[in-house]
Amino acid sequence: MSFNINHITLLHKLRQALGLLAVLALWLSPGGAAAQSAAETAQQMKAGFIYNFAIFADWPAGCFKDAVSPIIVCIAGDSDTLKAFDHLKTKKIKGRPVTVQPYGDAVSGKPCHIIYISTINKFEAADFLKRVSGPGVLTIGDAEGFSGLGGIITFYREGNKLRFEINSDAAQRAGLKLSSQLLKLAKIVTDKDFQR
Amino acid sequence: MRIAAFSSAKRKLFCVPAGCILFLFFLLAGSTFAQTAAASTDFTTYSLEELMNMELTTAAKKPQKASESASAVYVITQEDIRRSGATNLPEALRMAPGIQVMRSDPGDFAVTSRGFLGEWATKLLVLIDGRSIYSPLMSGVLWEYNDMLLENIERIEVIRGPGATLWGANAVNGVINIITKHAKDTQGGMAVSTFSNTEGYDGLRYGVKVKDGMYLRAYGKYMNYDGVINHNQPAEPRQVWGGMRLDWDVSPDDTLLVTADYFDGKEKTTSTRTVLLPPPVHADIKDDNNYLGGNALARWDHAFSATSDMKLQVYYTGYYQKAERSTGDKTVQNSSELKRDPSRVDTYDIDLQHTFALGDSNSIIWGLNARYNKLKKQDAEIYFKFESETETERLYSAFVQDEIVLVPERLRLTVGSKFEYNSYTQLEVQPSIRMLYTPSETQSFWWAVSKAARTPSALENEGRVREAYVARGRLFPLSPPGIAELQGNRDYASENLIAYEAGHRVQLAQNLSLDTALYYNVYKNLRTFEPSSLQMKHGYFIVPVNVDNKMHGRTYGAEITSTWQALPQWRLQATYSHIRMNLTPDKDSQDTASAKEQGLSSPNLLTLRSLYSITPSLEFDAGLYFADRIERLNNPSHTDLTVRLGWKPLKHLMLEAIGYNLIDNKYKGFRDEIYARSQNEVRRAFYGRITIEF
Repeated sequence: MSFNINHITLLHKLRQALGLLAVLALWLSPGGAAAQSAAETAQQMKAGFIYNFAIFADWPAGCFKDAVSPIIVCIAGDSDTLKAFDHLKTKKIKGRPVTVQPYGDAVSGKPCHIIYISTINKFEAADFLKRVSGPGVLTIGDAEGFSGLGGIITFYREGNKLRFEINSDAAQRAGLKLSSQLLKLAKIVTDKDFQR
Repeated sequence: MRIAAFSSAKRKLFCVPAGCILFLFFLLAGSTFAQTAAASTDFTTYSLEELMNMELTTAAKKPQKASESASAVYVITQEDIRRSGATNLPEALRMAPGIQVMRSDPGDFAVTSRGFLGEWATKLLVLIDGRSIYSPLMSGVLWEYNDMLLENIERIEVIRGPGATLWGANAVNGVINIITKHAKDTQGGMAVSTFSNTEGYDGLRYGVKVKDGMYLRAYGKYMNYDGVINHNQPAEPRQVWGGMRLDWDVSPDDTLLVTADYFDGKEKTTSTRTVLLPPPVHADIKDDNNYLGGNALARWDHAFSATSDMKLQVYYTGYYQKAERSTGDKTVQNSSELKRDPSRVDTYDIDLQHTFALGDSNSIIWGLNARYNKLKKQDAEIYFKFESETETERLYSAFVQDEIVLVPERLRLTVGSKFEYNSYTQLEVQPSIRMLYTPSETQSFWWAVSKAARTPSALENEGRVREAYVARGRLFPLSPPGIAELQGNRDYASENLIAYEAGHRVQLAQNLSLDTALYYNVYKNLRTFEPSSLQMKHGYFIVPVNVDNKMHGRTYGAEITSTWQALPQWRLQATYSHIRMNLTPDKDSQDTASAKEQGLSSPNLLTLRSLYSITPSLEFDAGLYFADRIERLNNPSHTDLTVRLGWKPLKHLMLEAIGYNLIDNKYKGFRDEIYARSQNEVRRAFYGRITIEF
């Protein structure tokens, strides 16, 4: 009998302890503080897009040293933008590893295969484009009218969704071959569209 | 403040020790693992199409890929539909594993998920853009009232197994979500027409941009179901459909969707029915059936933040049916019983849903719903009627579900429940618990236990069906003729299911995937038809048959899907589904027929599809659909081969040649037990289809 009582008391205490722990856990849980901002999510989604762009793009001969040399993705943007591309670093594209680096590092010799220009300032973007555009460089940007400035792929928002347009003339100038699977999902523009 | 919260929380935790421990585990797991969670989502695992379909504002909630869902999901895309050569909605569904589709009458189909095949398969819920097309009158989907322009469909999500926690009652053995294209994706014009030795359709669609962010499309469709069924009398169903969809991005955080459809159809049927003169006699009666209906839906979607989103949806749907009756039989020609009043069904629905993230590891979705059904089915003795002229039904429900990340990118738990109140059976609680384990990027396992209810239809609750003729001398020697009257039962309860499911998905190679789902279903309170004591009326017998819940059963089975991208231009897919059913009447049941329903589904289904692009403008596709024998109907096993050749000579022109049911010109269709009609045969058909975009 006494055993039983003790047993029940023990169980009771155990439950109490568990309850206490549970509440502590509740206390410690982050509780909504760390909700991501929409902007961060958008940048992460763009990283997903850019990964797919790379799959569907063919660079002209001579852009890579050999079959396994990395695809270099340069990010012209702040550190948060760079961070959004973290997942890309672990990926392989057509057997090539991916190197993600801030744009500034590119100047030091390693050319970029892809450059993402995150600024929405048209003049800044134009300035970047002037410096980086060239054969074998896939330029991707956020600024309105980025395509008109000679950028190849431009992100834009349509309602709640991300879309992209491709300036096919600019892609041709860079010697890049973009697959039809990519083109059919894009809004296609040409230089003519911007000549008024 | 905190102390108060502490003590109340403590009290709550003292319910059941096991529950406490479980709860504690989740809490601990949820919070501690969350600390180490990488805040960012890896979007590189999504395709471009998927990324483009993500809502920026809800993307943080991580829109689930079919491959990441803890349930048996299969997605049919617009391309699948187009390349299957299907000309009607039900036949597009047979691509999905575990779904059996059979024709019964021209324009009528039996479609089911995981057994219990029937023309009104009662345990499958179907929604078009969030609008339920499950009939509250009959319990089942009236497919002939729910056709659409297949070209407008973006995708069809087919979920086998219970979905009642999110979608509510009647999502017992499956939920089918038909999602139509955004109006922006159907800009410009499209005209489609089929040429065929049998049925066919013509369609027209036009989409415009009203202003920035506002898109509109309108469509029309004409459908005839001639000749694909070997029918003793021509049924000649004809249907006209028309509708619109408006998508408006009101602000970066608000979107508005408005859809509306209208349909008008007619159909001739001839059937042998019992007419109560009295005495009851059998007579061939012709029905010239006219029906029309429509629906309108509006949905407002507002994003509070990246992780919080609210949807408010209202819709109306309804139809009206009127039949002209005639007969060549002189004895009943002038009977008042040939008169039939029109029937009408109206449904109004309002739905609110809110999704938000709680911390890094909890994603909560909750919602409220109210529905009002008004049914009018006043009939003369001949068919069926309600005791009162109009039957109304009210439903109120609430649900909450939490998706908890226990280990980021590895282990996810989803718990939730629907609480649904309906005027027939009062409260139905339909909880579920699901676990998803993703050991690597290429492999996942899932487990689920869920409960679902199939609530009574108006007919089961208080309908009267006088249909079956009891011949002279059938009951005892020299007995007068009589009829069997199916009587609704106000105490009729919901049919209940507890489902145990498990699944596995693996990407065996870059181009080869395998998806397996297993289930074990335990049913209670299944429907039976219980005869009760004879009644004598005006010199004839009535054998009352009461709807009751005196059967239980178990089913188990497996569904396997494998997709192989053999070449960039060649995709192969195989699905195999197996089901075993074991239904047992309760001891006090006198219904010997219902348990035989277990023989009403094919135990084995197999589909093989090949999609081959010979050149970018030339496609050759084939689908082989095997269905094992249906014991109850005495149907032998059957294989349907459908072949399609598609050629795009110009950018805006598509020409197709489709051969349907090529192997067997006389395959036996479905015959419904309750609404016993003659069993029809499905014929071979050839179509040409021309699609022009402008």
